[in-house]
Amino acid sequence: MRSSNCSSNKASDISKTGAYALIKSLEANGIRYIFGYPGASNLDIYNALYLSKKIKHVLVRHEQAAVHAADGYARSSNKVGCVLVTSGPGICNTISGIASAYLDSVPLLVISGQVSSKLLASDAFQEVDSTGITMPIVKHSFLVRDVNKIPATIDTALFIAETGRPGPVLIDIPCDVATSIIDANKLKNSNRINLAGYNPQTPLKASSIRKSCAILAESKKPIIIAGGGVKISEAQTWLVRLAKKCNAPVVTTMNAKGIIESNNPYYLGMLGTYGSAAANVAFNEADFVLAIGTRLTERTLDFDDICLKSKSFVHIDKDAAELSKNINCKVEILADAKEAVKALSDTISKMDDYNGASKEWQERFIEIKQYAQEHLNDSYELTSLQKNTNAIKMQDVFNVLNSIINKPKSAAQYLVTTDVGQHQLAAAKFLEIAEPTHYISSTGLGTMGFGLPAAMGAKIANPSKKVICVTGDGSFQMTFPELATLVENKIEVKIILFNNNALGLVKQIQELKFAKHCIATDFSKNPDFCQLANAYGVKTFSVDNAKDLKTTIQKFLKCAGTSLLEVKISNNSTILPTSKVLEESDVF
Amino acid sequence: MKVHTLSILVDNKPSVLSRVIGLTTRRGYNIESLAVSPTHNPEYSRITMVVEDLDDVVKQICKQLGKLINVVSISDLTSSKPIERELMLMKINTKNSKTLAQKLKSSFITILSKDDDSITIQACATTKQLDNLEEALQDFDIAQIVRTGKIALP
Repeated sequence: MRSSNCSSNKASDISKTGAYALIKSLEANGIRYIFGYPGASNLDIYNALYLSKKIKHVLVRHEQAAVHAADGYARSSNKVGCVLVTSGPGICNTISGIASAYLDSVPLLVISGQVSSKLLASDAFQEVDSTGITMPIVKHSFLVRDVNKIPATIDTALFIAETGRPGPVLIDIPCDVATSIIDANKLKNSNRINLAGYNPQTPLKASSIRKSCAILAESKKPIIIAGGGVKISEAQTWLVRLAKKCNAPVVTTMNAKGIIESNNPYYLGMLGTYGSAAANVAFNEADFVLAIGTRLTERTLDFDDICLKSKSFVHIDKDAAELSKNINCKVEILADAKEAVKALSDTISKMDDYNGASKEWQERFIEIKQYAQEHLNDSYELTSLQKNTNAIKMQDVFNVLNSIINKPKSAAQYLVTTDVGQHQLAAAKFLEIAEPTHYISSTGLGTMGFGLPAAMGAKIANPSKKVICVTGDGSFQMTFPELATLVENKIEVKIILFNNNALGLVKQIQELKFAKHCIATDFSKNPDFCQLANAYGVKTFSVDNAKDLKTTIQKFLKCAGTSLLEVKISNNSTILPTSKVLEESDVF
Repeated sequence: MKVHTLSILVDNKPSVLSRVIGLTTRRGYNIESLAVSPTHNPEYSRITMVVEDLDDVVKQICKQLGKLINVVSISDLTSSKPIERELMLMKINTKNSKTLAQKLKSSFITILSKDDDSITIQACATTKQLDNLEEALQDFDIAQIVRTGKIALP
């Protein structure tokens, strides 16, 4: 048998190896948690990690979960999440996790062990082109061939991951490089960040601010779309000030949920296909759009061309490639959201003849919000058991949660992650969260299986907060083995599992768009989720009628340790697209 | 649709060309020609890429390419009327081609080798001139043509 991989160093040599230098560099950069999975090609790195007193390793049950956990850790702490996996299947299993982080602009450092340098591109055991297969879904990647470049590569990768528009960065390290001995002299010369082609600074152009203010001052019905960029640059306070100065309502993307309190009169909810009616109606009527830190995707701007072309767009983003990508804007502002919003606010304040849009517009959007709340709040969700007052609607669960987590004393103590499906849309619509880092969801890629591991990472980053994972039976079954990781590491996560024995969101698309040809969307034999969770040592609760809902949720949240609440809902529950809700109502 | 000549300064490192090409082709853009070589500073390479598309689409390609960490700078030379050249090598089987010598009388054509059976020429000119030359010689028995792709200076 050919020796395909690397031999480990003797214990006395470890401190001189690339693997040891890697761990020391991570420590020096403040990395305290690594979510990972060992394998033949990263064992030397694990051997060095064994000696670390500063970094704790969390052994997951699948590499996809490692990335989601690091993602949840990063989003809830504004730090970089770190992942360590092996070559071949190890890196392949991370793909959907990395892509999720890439689309939602989450800073991650993914370190993958690789086969020995001499075996690269030889189809060796557990060898894939790791930098090649991840190329379109990372902000940058490195294949380290020189052991002396390991520390500089770690510094550079972290710098790239967390500056500018954040994103995941991959470092692939062949095992012979990890075991090689560092040359201290060469190390000195290479230990610096040298990036001629990367400058995350985006100096604000005063002219673009002036132009934007001039268009804004002329508009009669301005509206602000706030995206994830507002969250990243922590621009929410300035955003609210700007909204008040302009008399402009604020709508958000799903990724920006939580940047503004839902009872703020200027806030109309989420915009888009499954957004709030108020947000969509007000957007439809607006003549000016200030889009901040959003990609303006088709799911956010789910309006016809006539509607979109009737508005003037000003777009703020720190990623130049997002400006005028999906919508041609009158003014492109290449800048950090906070800096730009602050500059707009300052400039507007100095305009003597401008006091914001008319009172009529303000009255109108407040009226839209009230009307939508009074007449449409119960119209988004349909269930075949609607006549049965005991049947649970998803909205009921969020109403109870809102009453618990938004008590003045418990504000900001709860952090919620979601999976992907109907429950995600229901959470985005009905859950009231007033902190941007307290709502975590895979919004760009929509990755099922995200919620549970992301909750694990979020809890590790926020040990004093209660972390709730809202999931569905489809999503949960993609990463439920992480229950073992939670229990093993005594990480307390509260899991609310909506069980409709179906892939509800896909099924409702089949019902609405494919003449009810429901195929491959019903689970005729789901496991008993409570027994399944019990097998992992997780406490469980189950509820299937509305009258027991509140007390069951209270008990579930109060019990110590990780627990799971199965909420049984109708197999035909539907979260209607907002356009459908508006179509069927005569409110607007 | 318009032909755009992009001049891209990149780090002279492995995988950089792959990143540039991968990103360019992701949306189905066809690359008309591509020329790459190190610059006078060996740390960098210059990529000259020719693409044909709408102005807005090419502008978006440039923005996307500009995001790549290894891309130092990128410019669309199209509107600056750059000096452009391309090199072509052509081997022609000379049997029954008495009029060939006439066709090869041009300042940008050099005869590199000649024997009883074939002639190999070098032509250095604009892309259009090379296209015209190819067309002018299409009745001859062309054995092989190699073109470098356009290079350009603003």
